[in-house]
Amino acid sequence: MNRRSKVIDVASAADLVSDGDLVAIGGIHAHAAPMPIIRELARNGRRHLRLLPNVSAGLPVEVLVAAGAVAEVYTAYVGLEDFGLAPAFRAAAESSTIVVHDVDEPFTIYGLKAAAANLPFMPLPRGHEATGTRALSPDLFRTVVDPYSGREHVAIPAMRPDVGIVHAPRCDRFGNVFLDGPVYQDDLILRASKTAIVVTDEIVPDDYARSGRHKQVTVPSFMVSAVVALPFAAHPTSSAGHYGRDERMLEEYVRSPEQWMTRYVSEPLDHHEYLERVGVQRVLGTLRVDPAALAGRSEA
Amino acid sequence: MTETIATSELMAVTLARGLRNEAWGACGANSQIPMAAFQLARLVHAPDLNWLSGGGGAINSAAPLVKSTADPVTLDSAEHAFRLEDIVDFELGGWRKAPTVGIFGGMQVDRHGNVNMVGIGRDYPKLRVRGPGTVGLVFAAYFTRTMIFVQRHDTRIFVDEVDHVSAPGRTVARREFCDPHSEGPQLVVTPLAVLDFGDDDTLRLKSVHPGHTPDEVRERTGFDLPSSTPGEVPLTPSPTDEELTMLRERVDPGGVLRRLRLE
Repeated sequence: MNRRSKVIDVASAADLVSDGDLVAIGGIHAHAAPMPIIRELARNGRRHLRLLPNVSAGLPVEVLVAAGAVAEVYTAYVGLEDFGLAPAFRAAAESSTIVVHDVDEPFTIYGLKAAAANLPFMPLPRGHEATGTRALSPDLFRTVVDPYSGREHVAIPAMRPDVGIVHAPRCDRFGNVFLDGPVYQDDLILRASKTAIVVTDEIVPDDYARSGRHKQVTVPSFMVSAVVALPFAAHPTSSAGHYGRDERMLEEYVRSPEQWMTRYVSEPLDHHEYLERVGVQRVLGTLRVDPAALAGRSEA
Repeated sequence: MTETIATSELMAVTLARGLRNEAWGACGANSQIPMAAFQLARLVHAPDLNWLSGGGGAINSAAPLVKSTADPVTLDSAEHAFRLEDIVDFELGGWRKAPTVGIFGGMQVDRHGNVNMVGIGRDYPKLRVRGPGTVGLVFAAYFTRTMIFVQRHDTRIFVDEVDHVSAPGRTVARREFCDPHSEGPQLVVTPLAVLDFGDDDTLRLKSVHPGHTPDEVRERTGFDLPSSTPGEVPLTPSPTDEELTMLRERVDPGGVLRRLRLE
Protein backbone atom coordinates (compact mmCIF):
# COMPACT_ATOMS: atom_id res chain seq x y z
CA MET A 1 0.00 0.00 0.00
CA ASN A 2 1.19 3.49 -0.77
CA ARG A 3 1.27 6.13 1.91
CA ARG A 4 -1.50 8.72 1.49
CA SER A 5 -0.57 12.12 0.09
CA LYS A 6 -2.24 15.02 1.89
CA VAL A 7 -1.81 17.46 -0.99
CA ILE A 8 -5.08 19.10 -2.00
CA ASP A 9 -5.99 22.22 -3.96
CA VAL A 10 -6.68 25.58 -2.37
CA ALA A 11 -10.46 25.43 -2.90
CA SER A 12 -10.67 22.06 -1.14
CA ALA A 13 -8.57 23.44 1.70
CA ALA A 14 -10.89 26.43 2.08
CA ASP A 15 -13.81 23.97 2.23
CA LEU A 16 -12.32 22.61 5.45
CA VAL A 17 -13.28 25.91 7.09
CA SER A 18 -16.96 26.33 8.07
CA ASP A 19 -18.89 29.47 8.95
CA GLY A 20 -18.46 30.24 12.65
CA ASP A 21 -15.23 28.26 13.07
CA LEU A 22 -12.43 29.30 15.39
CA VAL A 23 -9.56 29.74 12.91
CA ALA A 24 -5.90 30.15 13.88
CA ILE A 25 -3.60 31.83 11.37
CA GLY A 26 0.19 31.52 11.46
CA GLY A 27 3.13 33.78 10.63
CA ILE A 28 3.86 37.21 12.01
CA HIS A 29 3.40 40.72 10.58
CA ALA A 30 4.08 40.54 6.81
CA HIS A 31 5.92 37.24 7.11
CA ALA A 32 4.72 33.68 6.45
CA ALA A 33 1.00 34.33 6.10
CA PRO A 34 -0.99 31.55 4.33
CA MET A 35 -2.47 34.09 1.91
CA PRO A 36 -3.95 31.87 -0.85
CA ILE A 37 -6.39 30.24 1.59
CA ILE A 38 -7.13 33.59 3.24
CA ARG A 39 -8.05 35.08 -0.14
CA GLU A 40 -10.13 32.02 -1.02
CA LEU A 41 -12.10 32.28 2.26
CA ALA A 42 -12.65 36.00 1.67
CA ARG A 43 -13.79 35.45 -1.92
CA ASN A 44 -16.11 32.56 -1.08
CA GLY A 45 -18.13 34.58 1.39
CA ARG A 46 -17.24 32.69 4.56
CA ARG A 47 -19.06 34.30 7.51
CA HIS A 48 -18.90 34.66 11.30
CA LEU A 49 -15.34 33.38 11.59
CA ARG A 50 -13.73 33.71 14.99
CA LEU A 51 -10.05 34.45 14.43
CA LEU A 52 -7.20 33.48 16.72
CA PRO A 53 -4.50 35.10 14.61
CA ASN A 54 -0.77 35.06 15.27
CA VAL A 55 0.33 37.41 18.04
CA SER A 56 1.27 40.20 15.62
CA ALA A 57 -1.17 39.80 12.78
CA GLY A 58 -1.71 42.12 9.86
CA LEU A 59 -2.73 41.40 6.30
CA PRO A 60 -4.62 38.08 6.74
CA VAL A 61 -6.87 39.60 9.40
CA GLU A 62 -7.33 42.74 7.30
CA VAL A 63 -8.39 40.75 4.23
CA LEU A 64 -10.91 38.61 6.14
CA VAL A 65 -12.33 41.55 8.10
CA ALA A 66 -12.60 43.70 4.97
CA ALA A 67 -14.46 40.85 3.24
CA GLY A 68 -17.01 40.70 6.05
CA ALA A 69 -15.98 37.16 6.96
CA VAL A 70 -15.20 37.84 10.62
CA ALA A 71 -17.34 38.02 13.75
CA GLU A 72 -14.65 38.02 16.47
CA VAL A 73 -10.90 38.51 16.78
CA TYR A 74 -8.78 37.42 19.73
CA THR A 75 -6.39 40.32 19.45
CA ALA A 76 -2.88 40.39 20.82
CA TYR A 77 -1.92 42.79 18.01
CA VAL A 78 -3.51 43.58 14.68
CA GLY A 79 -1.62 46.19 12.70
CA LEU A 80 0.72 46.64 9.78
CA GLU A 81 4.03 46.99 11.67
CA ASP A 82 6.03 49.82 10.05
CA PHE A 83 3.04 50.61 7.78
CA GLY A 84 0.88 51.71 10.72
CA LEU A 85 -2.57 50.76 11.98
CA ALA A 86 -4.73 48.24 10.13
CA PRO A 87 -7.54 50.27 8.47
CA ALA A 88 -10.22 47.58 7.99
CA PHE A 89 -9.71 46.10 11.45
CA ARG A 90 -9.74 49.56 12.98
CA ALA A 91 -12.95 50.61 11.20
CA ALA A 92 -14.75 47.36 12.03
CA ALA A 93 -13.69 47.55 15.68
CA GLU A 94 -14.59 51.23 16.08
CA SER A 95 -18.03 50.65 14.52
CA SER A 96 -18.55 47.44 16.55
CA THR A 97 -19.01 45.41 13.35
CA ILE A 98 -16.66 42.86 14.88
CA VAL A 99 -16.12 41.84 18.49
CA VAL A 100 -12.54 42.39 19.62
CA HIS A 101 -11.32 40.32 22.53
CA ASP A 102 -8.29 42.13 23.90
CA VAL A 103 -5.79 39.48 24.91
CA ASP A 104 -1.99 39.32 24.83
CA GLU A 105 0.95 37.18 23.78
CA PRO A 106 0.74 34.78 26.76
CA PHE A 107 -2.97 34.28 26.08
CA THR A 108 -2.55 33.17 22.47
CA ILE A 109 0.61 31.14 23.06
CA TYR A 110 -0.33 29.45 26.32
CA GLY A 111 -3.93 29.00 25.12
CA LEU A 112 -2.58 27.00 22.16
CA LYS A 113 0.00 25.25 24.35
CA ALA A 114 -2.74 24.15 26.78
CA ALA A 115 -4.85 22.86 23.88
CA ALA A 116 -1.90 20.95 22.41
CA ALA A 117 -1.25 19.30 25.79
CA ASN A 118 -4.98 18.73 26.45
CA LEU A 119 -4.78 20.89 29.57
CA PRO A 120 -7.96 22.77 30.58
CA PHE A 121 -6.08 26.03 31.22
CA MET A 122 -2.66 27.49 31.99
CA PRO A 123 -1.98 29.63 35.05
CA LEU A 124 0.34 32.63 34.74
CA PRO A 125 2.98 33.76 37.21
CA ARG A 126 1.72 36.68 39.30
CA GLY A 127 2.20 40.08 37.68
CA HIS A 128 -0.47 40.02 34.96
CA GLU A 129 -2.83 41.53 37.58
CA ALA A 130 -0.84 44.77 37.40
CA THR A 131 -2.07 45.35 33.83
CA GLY A 132 -5.56 46.47 32.86
CA THR A 133 -6.00 43.76 30.24
CA ARG A 134 -7.93 41.35 32.44
CA ALA A 135 -10.57 44.03 33.06
CA LEU A 136 -11.10 44.31 29.28
CA SER A 137 -11.68 40.54 28.81
CA PRO A 138 -12.82 39.23 32.21
CA ASP A 139 -14.42 36.09 30.77
CA LEU A 140 -11.14 35.05 29.19
CA PHE A 141 -8.71 35.92 31.98
CA ARG A 142 -10.21 34.22 35.02
CA THR A 143 -8.41 33.36 38.25
CA VAL A 144 -7.44 30.08 39.85
CA VAL A 145 -6.04 29.26 43.27
CA ASP A 146 -2.69 27.45 43.33
CA PRO A 147 -3.46 24.29 45.34
CA TYR A 148 0.11 24.27 46.68
CA SER A 149 0.62 27.88 47.80
CA GLY A 150 -3.00 28.95 48.16
CA ARG A 151 -2.25 32.07 46.08
CA GLU A 152 -4.48 33.33 43.32
CA HIS A 153 -3.24 33.37 39.70
CA VAL A 154 -4.63 34.66 36.41
CA ALA A 155 -5.49 31.74 34.11
CA ILE A 156 -5.76 31.33 30.35
CA PRO A 157 -8.25 28.87 28.84
CA ALA A 158 -7.14 26.22 26.35
CA MET A 159 -7.76 27.65 22.87
CA ARG A 160 -8.48 24.77 20.50
CA PRO A 161 -8.95 26.07 16.94
CA ASP A 162 -11.34 24.22 14.64
CA VAL A 163 -8.90 24.94 11.86
CA GLY A 164 -5.29 26.13 11.95
CA ILE A 165 -3.65 27.46 8.79
CA VAL A 166 0.08 28.14 8.51
CA HIS A 167 2.61 28.79 5.77
CA ALA A 168 5.80 26.72 5.48
CA PRO A 169 8.66 27.32 3.03
CA ARG A 170 8.89 23.54 2.52
CA CYS A 171 6.81 20.48 3.31
CA ASP A 172 6.54 16.93 2.00
CA ARG A 173 3.41 15.29 0.59
CA PHE A 174 2.68 13.59 3.89
CA GLY A 175 2.78 16.80 5.92
CA ASN A 176 6.25 16.83 7.45
CA VAL A 177 6.73 20.57 7.88
CA PHE A 178 10.04 22.41 7.39
CA LEU A 179 9.77 25.84 9.00
CA ASP A 180 13.17 26.94 7.73
CA GLY A 181 12.96 30.44 9.16
CA PRO A 182 11.34 31.56 12.40
CA VAL A 183 8.85 29.06 13.83
CA TYR A 184 6.71 31.76 15.48
CA GLN A 185 3.63 30.04 17.03
CA ASP A 186 3.09 27.89 13.96
CA ASP A 187 4.18 24.64 15.61
CA LEU A 188 1.62 25.22 18.36
CA ILE A 189 -1.11 26.06 15.85
CA LEU A 190 -0.57 22.79 13.99
CA ARG A 191 -0.44 20.78 17.22
CA ALA A 192 -3.49 22.45 18.80
CA SER A 193 -5.91 22.68 15.86
CA LYS A 194 -8.47 19.96 15.11
CA THR A 195 -7.83 20.44 11.39
CA ALA A 196 -4.32 21.66 10.51
CA ILE A 197 -3.53 23.03 7.04
CA VAL A 198 -0.10 23.89 5.64
CA VAL A 199 0.38 26.12 2.61
CA THR A 200 3.83 25.62 1.16
CA ASP A 201 6.09 27.01 -1.57
CA GLU A 202 7.87 23.75 -2.20
CA ILE A 203 7.11 20.04 -1.88
CA VAL A 204 10.29 18.15 -1.03
CA PRO A 205 10.85 14.52 -2.14
CA ASP A 206 9.21 11.72 -0.16
CA ASP A 207 12.46 10.45 1.38
CA TYR A 208 13.85 13.94 2.07
CA ALA A 209 13.09 14.05 5.82
CA ARG A 210 14.44 10.58 6.53
CA SER A 211 17.69 11.28 4.64
CA GLY A 212 19.36 12.61 7.77
CA ARG A 213 17.15 15.70 7.99
CA HIS A 214 14.80 14.77 10.80
CA LYS A 215 16.05 17.71 12.86
CA GLN A 216 14.87 20.09 10.13
CA VAL A 217 11.30 18.83 10.45
CA THR A 218 9.60 21.31 12.77
CA VAL A 219 6.27 19.48 13.01
CA PRO A 220 5.76 15.81 12.06
CA SER A 221 3.30 14.72 9.40
CA PHE A 222 0.68 13.24 11.71
CA MET A 223 -0.08 16.71 13.13
CA VAL A 224 -1.04 17.94 9.66
CA SER A 225 -4.38 17.31 7.91
CA ALA A 226 -3.78 18.86 4.50
CA VAL A 227 -1.05 20.43 2.37
CA VAL A 228 -1.55 23.04 -0.34
CA ALA A 229 1.43 23.65 -2.64
CA LEU A 230 1.62 26.86 -4.65
CA PRO A 231 4.45 29.05 -5.95
CA PHE A 232 4.95 32.22 -3.91
CA ALA A 233 2.42 30.84 -1.45
CA ALA A 234 2.97 33.57 1.12
CA HIS A 235 3.04 36.54 -1.26
CA PRO A 236 2.87 39.48 -0.50
CA THR A 237 4.29 38.34 2.85
CA SER A 238 7.73 36.73 3.06
CA SER A 239 8.90 33.12 2.96
CA ALA A 240 12.16 32.45 4.81
CA GLY A 241 14.94 31.41 2.44
CA HIS A 242 12.78 32.06 -0.61
CA TYR A 243 11.53 35.64 -0.92
CA GLY A 244 11.02 38.82 1.09
CA ARG A 245 7.83 40.76 1.71
CA ASP A 246 6.47 42.81 -1.18
CA GLU A 247 6.59 46.29 0.32
CA ARG A 248 4.95 47.91 -2.68
CA MET A 249 1.89 45.68 -2.22
CA LEU A 250 1.66 46.79 1.40
CA GLU A 251 2.03 50.45 0.44
CA GLU A 252 -0.66 49.98 -2.19
CA TYR A 253 -2.96 48.40 0.38
CA VAL A 254 -2.52 51.24 2.88
CA ARG A 255 -3.12 53.83 0.14
CA SER A 256 -6.39 52.35 -1.14
CA PRO A 257 -7.58 49.26 0.75
CA GLU A 258 -10.87 48.90 -1.12
CA GLN A 259 -9.36 48.97 -4.59
CA TRP A 260 -6.67 46.57 -3.41
CA MET A 261 -9.31 44.15 -2.12
CA THR A 262 -11.15 44.22 -5.44
CA ARG A 263 -8.05 43.90 -7.59
CA TYR A 264 -6.21 41.26 -5.60
CA VAL A 265 -8.88 39.40 -3.60
CA SER A 266 -12.38 39.55 -5.14
CA GLU A 267 -11.55 39.47 -8.83
CA PRO A 268 -8.74 36.93 -9.34
CA LEU A 269 -10.23 33.45 -9.75
CA ASP A 270 -7.22 31.64 -8.37
CA HIS A 271 -3.68 32.07 -7.05
CA HIS A 272 -2.14 32.13 -10.52
CA GLU A 273 -4.43 34.88 -11.71
CA TYR A 274 -3.55 36.76 -8.54
CA LEU A 275 0.16 36.43 -9.31
CA GLU A 276 -0.45 37.54 -12.89
CA ARG A 277 -2.14 40.68 -11.63
CA VAL A 278 0.81 41.46 -9.38
CA GLY A 279 3.10 40.90 -12.37
CA VAL A 280 6.14 38.77 -13.08
CA GLN A 281 8.66 41.52 -12.37
CA ARG A 282 7.14 42.42 -9.03
CA VAL A 283 6.77 38.81 -7.90
CA LEU A 284 10.26 37.78 -8.97
CA GLY A 285 11.61 40.99 -7.50
CA THR A 286 10.87 39.67 -4.02
CA LEU A 287 13.20 36.67 -4.48
CA ARG A 288 16.13 36.55 -2.12
CA VAL A 289 18.56 34.70 -4.30
CA ASP A 290 22.24 34.73 -3.63
CA PRO A 291 23.83 34.11 -7.07
CA ALA A 292 26.84 32.44 -5.45
CA ALA A 293 24.58 30.02 -3.60
CA LEU A 294 22.71 29.26 -6.83
CA ALA A 295 25.97 28.50 -8.58
CA GLY A 296 26.91 26.20 -5.72
CA ARG A 297 23.59 24.41 -5.96
CA SER A 298 23.94 23.68 -9.66
CA GLU A 299 27.37 22.14 -9.09
CA ALA A 300 26.13 19.92 -6.28
CA MET B 1 30.49 65.23 13.46
CA THR B 2 27.76 66.11 15.99
CA GLU B 3 25.57 68.12 13.64
CA THR B 4 25.08 65.16 11.29
CA ILE B 5 23.72 62.76 13.92
CA ALA B 6 20.12 61.74 13.31
CA THR B 7 17.75 61.88 16.29
CA SER B 8 17.00 58.17 15.89
CA GLU B 9 20.75 57.46 16.13
CA LEU B 10 21.01 59.55 19.31
CA MET B 11 18.02 57.64 20.74
CA ALA B 12 19.66 54.28 19.95
CA VAL B 13 22.93 55.38 21.57
CA THR B 14 21.07 56.65 24.66
CA LEU B 15 19.19 53.36 25.06
CA ALA B 16 22.40 51.39 24.48
CA ARG B 17 24.09 53.23 27.34
CA GLY B 18 21.25 52.15 29.62
CA LEU B 19 21.96 48.46 28.91
CA ARG B 20 24.16 46.56 31.34
CA ASN B 21 26.55 43.74 30.60
CA GLU B 22 25.29 40.21 31.36
CA ALA B 23 21.64 41.21 31.24
CA TRP B 24 19.15 39.43 28.98
CA GLY B 25 17.31 41.87 26.76
CA ALA B 26 14.27 41.71 24.52
CA CYS B 27 12.37 43.93 22.14
CA GLY B 28 9.36 43.40 19.90
CA ALA B 29 8.63 43.99 16.25
CA ASN B 30 8.69 47.45 14.66
CA SER B 31 11.61 48.18 16.98
CA GLN B 32 14.45 49.47 14.83
CA ILE B 33 15.80 51.80 17.55
CA PRO B 34 15.87 49.15 20.34
CA MET B 35 17.44 46.58 17.98
CA ALA B 36 20.20 49.03 17.17
CA ALA B 37 20.66 49.73 20.90
CA PHE B 38 21.10 46.06 21.79
CA GLN B 39 23.61 45.47 19.01
CA LEU B 40 25.52 48.66 19.77
CA ALA B 41 25.76 47.90 23.49
CA ARG B 42 27.21 44.46 22.69
CA LEU B 43 29.84 46.02 20.44
CA VAL B 44 30.83 48.91 22.70
CA HIS B 45 30.45 48.19 26.41
CA ALA B 46 28.34 45.08 27.08
CA PRO B 47 29.79 42.10 25.17
CA ASP B 48 28.00 39.63 27.44
CA LEU B 49 24.58 41.18 26.99
CA ASN B 50 22.24 38.63 25.38
CA TRP B 51 19.24 39.81 23.44
CA LEU B 52 16.14 38.47 21.79
CA SER B 53 14.53 40.00 18.75
CA GLY B 54 10.93 39.22 19.62
CA GLY B 55 9.55 39.48 16.09
CA GLY B 56 11.47 36.60 14.53
CA GLY B 57 12.91 35.02 17.69
CA ALA B 58 16.58 35.65 16.81
CA ILE B 59 19.00 35.36 19.73
CA ASN B 60 22.08 37.61 19.60
CA SER B 61 21.52 38.51 15.96
CA ALA B 62 24.28 40.55 14.36
CA ALA B 63 22.30 41.14 11.17
CA PRO B 64 22.40 44.65 9.69
CA LEU B 65 19.32 46.59 10.74
CA VAL B 66 16.23 46.05 8.54
CA LYS B 67 12.99 47.98 8.25
CA SER B 68 10.82 45.05 9.33
CA THR B 69 12.44 43.87 12.55
CA ALA B 70 10.35 40.67 12.35
CA ASP B 71 12.03 39.75 9.03
CA PRO B 72 13.47 36.20 8.89
CA VAL B 73 16.81 37.66 7.74
CA THR B 74 17.44 38.60 11.39
CA LEU B 75 18.06 34.86 11.89
CA ASP B 76 20.86 34.74 9.33
CA SER B 77 23.49 35.83 11.82
CA ALA B 78 21.80 34.75 15.04
CA GLU B 79 23.15 32.18 17.50
CA HIS B 80 19.79 30.56 18.08
CA ALA B 81 16.10 30.91 17.19
CA PHE B 82 13.37 30.98 19.82
CA ARG B 83 9.87 29.80 18.98
CA LEU B 84 7.12 32.00 20.42
CA GLU B 85 6.56 29.40 23.11
CA ASP B 86 10.23 29.84 24.15
CA ILE B 87 9.82 33.61 23.98
CA VAL B 88 6.81 33.71 26.31
CA ASP B 89 8.48 31.29 28.74
CA PHE B 90 11.59 33.48 28.72
CA GLU B 91 9.80 36.79 29.08
CA LEU B 92 7.72 35.54 32.01
CA GLY B 93 10.42 33.58 33.80
CA GLY B 94 13.88 34.36 32.39
CA TRP B 95 14.56 36.80 35.25
CA ARG B 96 15.00 33.81 37.58
CA LYS B 97 18.28 33.06 35.76
CA ALA B 98 19.57 36.58 34.94
CA PRO B 99 18.37 40.17 35.11
CA THR B 100 16.11 40.86 32.12
CA VAL B 101 15.51 44.13 30.32
CA GLY B 102 12.76 44.96 27.85
CA ILE B 103 12.52 47.94 25.51
CA PHE B 104 9.11 48.85 24.07
CA GLY B 105 6.87 51.72 22.99
CA GLY B 106 3.15 52.48 22.86
CA MET B 107 0.30 54.83 21.91
CA GLN B 108 0.11 56.56 25.30
CA VAL B 109 2.64 56.93 28.13
CA ASP B 110 1.69 58.50 31.45
CA ARG B 111 3.58 60.11 34.34
CA HIS B 112 4.04 56.76 36.08
CA GLY B 113 5.36 55.08 32.94
CA ASN B 114 2.20 53.08 32.25
CA VAL B 115 1.90 52.32 28.52
CA ASN B 116 -1.28 51.79 26.47
CA MET B 117 -1.59 50.03 23.11
CA VAL B 118 -5.29 49.06 23.27
CA GLY B 119 -6.62 52.36 21.97
CA ILE B 120 -7.68 55.90 22.77
CA GLY B 121 -10.87 56.37 24.77
CA ARG B 122 -12.03 55.02 28.12
CA ASP B 123 -15.52 53.92 27.10
CA TYR B 124 -14.36 50.41 26.23
CA PRO B 125 -15.03 48.80 23.80
CA LYS B 126 -16.21 52.00 22.09
CA LEU B 127 -12.73 53.42 21.48
CA ARG B 128 -12.17 56.65 19.56
CA VAL B 129 -9.03 55.13 18.05
CA ARG B 130 -8.78 51.36 18.08
CA GLY B 131 -5.12 50.51 18.70
CA PRO B 132 -3.31 47.36 17.61
CA GLY B 133 -3.50 45.61 20.99
CA THR B 134 -1.38 44.85 24.04
CA VAL B 135 0.94 42.38 22.24
CA GLY B 136 3.97 41.84 24.54
CA LEU B 137 3.49 44.80 26.88
CA VAL B 138 2.32 42.48 29.67
CA PHE B 139 5.94 41.34 29.99
CA ALA B 140 6.70 44.74 31.56
CA ALA B 141 5.22 43.15 34.70
CA TYR B 142 7.95 40.48 34.65
CA PHE B 143 11.15 42.04 33.25
CA THR B 144 13.71 43.16 35.84
CA ARG B 145 13.92 46.58 34.21
CA THR B 146 12.36 48.23 31.19
CA MET B 147 13.05 51.23 29.00
CA ILE B 148 10.42 52.99 26.92
CA PHE B 149 10.98 54.59 23.52
CA VAL B 150 8.53 56.61 21.44
CA GLN B 151 8.90 57.95 17.91
CA ARG B 152 6.63 60.94 18.57
CA HIS B 153 6.59 63.40 21.46
CA ASP B 154 3.36 65.34 21.98
CA THR B 155 0.43 65.69 24.39
CA ARG B 156 -1.47 62.90 22.63
CA ILE B 157 1.17 60.36 23.58
CA PHE B 158 2.33 61.81 26.94
CA VAL B 159 -0.91 61.93 28.93
CA ASP B 160 -1.56 62.39 32.64
CA GLU B 161 -3.15 58.95 32.88
CA VAL B 162 -3.29 56.28 30.15
CA ASP B 163 -6.76 55.13 29.06
CA HIS B 164 -5.77 51.44 29.46
CA VAL B 165 -2.78 49.95 31.24
CA SER B 166 -1.14 47.49 28.83
CA ALA B 167 2.31 47.73 30.48
CA PRO B 168 2.35 48.66 34.16
CA GLY B 169 4.66 51.51 35.10
CA ARG B 170 5.78 52.37 38.61
CA THR B 171 2.43 51.90 40.27
CA VAL B 172 0.68 50.64 43.40
CA ALA B 173 -0.59 47.67 41.35
CA ARG B 174 3.01 46.77 40.43
CA ARG B 175 4.05 46.76 44.07
CA GLU B 176 1.03 44.66 44.97
CA PHE B 177 1.19 42.03 42.21
CA CYS B 178 4.65 41.88 40.63
CA ASP B 179 7.64 40.04 42.01
CA PRO B 180 9.87 42.51 43.91
CA HIS B 181 12.76 41.91 41.46
CA SER B 182 10.74 43.75 38.78
CA GLU B 183 11.66 47.42 39.11
CA GLY B 184 9.57 48.73 36.22
CA PRO B 185 10.55 51.46 33.76
CA GLN B 186 13.88 53.26 34.21
CA LEU B 187 14.07 55.61 31.25
CA VAL B 188 11.88 57.09 28.53
CA VAL B 189 13.68 58.13 25.35
CA THR B 190 11.79 60.37 22.90
CA PRO B 191 12.67 62.34 19.76
CA LEU B 192 13.05 65.44 21.99
CA ALA B 193 14.41 64.36 25.34
CA VAL B 194 15.34 61.74 27.90
CA LEU B 195 13.05 61.26 30.92
CA ASP B 196 13.74 59.35 34.12
CA PHE B 197 11.85 58.75 37.37
CA GLY B 198 11.99 60.59 40.68
CA ASP B 199 11.62 59.12 44.16
CA ASP B 200 7.84 59.56 43.86
CA ASP B 201 7.85 57.24 40.82
CA THR B 202 6.84 59.97 38.38
CA LEU B 203 8.65 61.14 35.25
CA ARG B 204 11.23 63.94 35.24
CA LEU B 205 13.17 65.69 32.51
CA LYS B 206 16.71 64.32 32.52
CA SER B 207 18.11 65.89 29.35
CA VAL B 208 17.01 67.50 26.10
CA HIS B 209 18.39 66.58 22.71
CA PRO B 210 20.46 69.20 20.85
CA GLY B 211 18.18 71.62 19.00
CA HIS B 212 15.36 71.39 21.56
CA THR B 213 14.56 73.30 24.76
CA PRO B 214 13.07 72.25 28.10
CA ASP B 215 10.13 74.63 27.47
CA GLU B 216 9.36 72.92 24.18
CA VAL B 217 9.50 69.46 25.80
CA ARG B 218 7.21 70.56 28.65
CA GLU B 219 4.77 72.17 26.25
CA ARG B 220 4.52 68.92 24.31
CA THR B 221 4.02 66.78 27.46
CA GLY B 222 0.57 66.38 29.04
CA PHE B 223 1.77 66.50 32.65
CA ASP B 224 4.23 68.44 34.81
CA LEU B 225 7.81 67.51 34.13
CA PRO B 226 10.19 68.65 36.88
CA SER B 227 13.92 68.55 36.18
CA SER B 228 15.93 65.55 37.35
CA THR B 229 18.81 67.73 38.53
CA PRO B 230 18.98 71.27 39.94
CA GLY B 231 19.94 74.06 37.57
CA GLU B 232 19.87 74.01 33.80
CA VAL B 233 18.59 70.88 32.08
CA PRO B 234 21.62 69.30 30.40
CA LEU B 235 21.86 68.29 26.75
CA THR B 236 21.66 64.59 25.96
CA PRO B 237 25.29 63.47 25.60
CA SER B 238 26.33 62.98 21.97
CA PRO B 239 27.58 59.62 20.73
CA THR B 240 31.30 59.03 21.07
CA ASP B 241 33.30 58.47 17.90
CA GLU B 242 33.41 54.76 18.72
CA GLU B 243 29.65 54.55 19.22
CA LEU B 244 28.92 56.39 16.00
CA THR B 245 31.40 54.35 13.97
CA MET B 246 30.05 51.06 15.32
CA LEU B 247 26.46 52.20 14.78
CA ARG B 248 26.99 53.24 11.17
CA GLU B 249 29.49 50.62 10.04
CA ARG B 250 28.37 47.52 11.91
CA VAL B 251 24.82 47.93 13.20
CA ASP B 252 23.08 50.02 10.57
CA PRO B 253 25.15 50.22 7.39
CA GLY B 254 21.95 50.57 5.35
CA GLY B 255 20.87 53.75 7.15
CA VAL B 256 17.51 52.40 8.38
CA LEU B 257 17.70 54.65 11.45
CA ARG B 258 18.51 57.75 9.46
CA ARG B 259 15.39 57.19 7.31
CA LEU B 260 13.08 56.49 10.27
CA ARG B 261 10.15 58.87 10.58
CA LEU B 262 10.07 60.69 13.93
CA GLU B 263 7.69 63.44 15.05
